[in-house]
Amino acid sequence: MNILLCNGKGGTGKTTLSVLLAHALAEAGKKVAVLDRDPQGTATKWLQECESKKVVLYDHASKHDAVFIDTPPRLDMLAPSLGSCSVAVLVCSPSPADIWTTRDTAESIRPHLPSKARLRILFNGVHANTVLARELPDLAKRIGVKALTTTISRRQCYQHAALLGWSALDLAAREELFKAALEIVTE
Amino acid sequence: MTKKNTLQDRLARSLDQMNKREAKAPSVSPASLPPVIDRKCKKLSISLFQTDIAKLDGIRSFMEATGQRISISQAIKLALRTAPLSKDLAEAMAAIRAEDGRA
Repeated sequence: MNILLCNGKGGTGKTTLSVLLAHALAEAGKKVAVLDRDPQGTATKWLQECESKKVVLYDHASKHDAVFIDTPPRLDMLAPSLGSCSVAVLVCSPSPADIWTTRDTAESIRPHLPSKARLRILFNGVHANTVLARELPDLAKRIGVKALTTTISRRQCYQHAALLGWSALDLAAREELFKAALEIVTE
Repeated sequence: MTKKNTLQDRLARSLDQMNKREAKAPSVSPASLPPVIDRKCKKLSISLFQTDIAKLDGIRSFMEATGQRISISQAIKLALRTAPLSKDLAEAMAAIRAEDGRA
């Protein structure tokens, strides 16, 4: 199963979530790889520095249960990744600017997705119990893309995870990553 | 069994089910992924004459006056973008794009 994380806007958390969601599946005992399509190579560096080797960089000669594809914030560089994905996850911050870009990204990539591929929005950096957080499902409807019911909260430990790996995450963070991953892999 | 383990178990089962379904639809398979782009830098050598260096210094000075510090390679890219398009120039730009994956 190939899971593409994308958005035409930078800084929404595509790389962080590619690596962390991959770790969530790896923690569930699956063989998971990350395919780093971003020329910045942040996911590559992250996995190379990471002490835990449960998640590996994609190698086309190896068999993986799931491949997370991290993409750059440029729509013209998405084309090679779209045709082979099972799910395209639009990682979106809960801000109007990000939501507008996400709508544009959704419209641009939809025609290039395989017919059976699903398109979903994952809201990242959400402050729980805020008016904006409550309005997110409605905002997703306006874009015309189904949003995952699980949202990723703004937590410092996600940044620490880049240095310390999965062990840096507290239980609440792990739980929301497991839930988001479950929604992504479930029809 | 803890809640975390239950979630992990459900996650593992769901992924197995999805992979079984996808195995029946061969159009989506990890093996069909295009090869990874080799982002190792292939060196591009160009010759700069005194007149070129003077022009690059001019571009850098102009950019610095607007508050933007740029490197020599960035100045070369800017110069290439504004130069009249020719076959030689197109080839040079293609090589630069291939080098770092960005326009």
